[in-house]
Amino acid sequence: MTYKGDPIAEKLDQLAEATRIPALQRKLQARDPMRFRVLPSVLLALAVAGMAVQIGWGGLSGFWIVWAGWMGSFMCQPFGPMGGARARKLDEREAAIVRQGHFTGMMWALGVAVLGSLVITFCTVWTMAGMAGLWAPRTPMDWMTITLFLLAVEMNVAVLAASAAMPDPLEDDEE
Amino acid sequence: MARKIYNRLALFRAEAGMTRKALADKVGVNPQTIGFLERGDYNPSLELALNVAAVFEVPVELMFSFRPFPSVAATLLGQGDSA
Repeated sequence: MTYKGDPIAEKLDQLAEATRIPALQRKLQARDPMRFRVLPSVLLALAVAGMAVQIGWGGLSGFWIVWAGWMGSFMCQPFGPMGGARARKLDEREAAIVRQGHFTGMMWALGVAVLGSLVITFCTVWTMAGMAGLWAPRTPMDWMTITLFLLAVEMNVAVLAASAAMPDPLEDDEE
Repeated sequence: MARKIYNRLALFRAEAGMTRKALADKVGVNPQTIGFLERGDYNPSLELALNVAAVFEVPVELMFSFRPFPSVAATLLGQGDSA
């Protein structure tokens, strides 16, 4: 389905269509959302491992692992129950699943943020008192890692919650 | 936990010879949602229930109920007894 009107835009559109990527994109967007269970769990584990590496080694070591977890979540989201890049509007059931998923994800991210803040405060006070050299975020990369970690928690927990709320797929794929 | 809502959607749809997609297009939902409705996995909103009933031109209580509907055979046998 190429654009008609401006000749330059038409040619560019034809060029894009020739790559078959827009057709593949339309095909994927028209599909019913899939339930994801293993993939978000793996990506969540990757983000947790990345955060642990950042705490243990600092620098950029953990950041890239957390980034990979977040990027993976970001790329997979359109194909799951939380997918926003669909060709059509969400109906009432799908919209309710998306709301429920985001609510659960946000609550988990908030819980982790509150608990993390308490731990950071405790570690900072402990270190200031000279009792132990405990980790607390200091560099911009530490804060970026924490930000991406919280985003990865929200996205993956949301997908897991939405997948759990989706009924089993229909056996007969009647159209 | 929401109460289960039973429906006669599959029966009415089969009688009308309508596909899930055709019904879904008429009421503005995903065909998957119609399938989940028929299977009893999803309780519709009042708006969706009224829209579905309107497509088949029946009152909403004939289409949806908190109590299971009797089977077609039982309904027909009941009519036979009373006739």
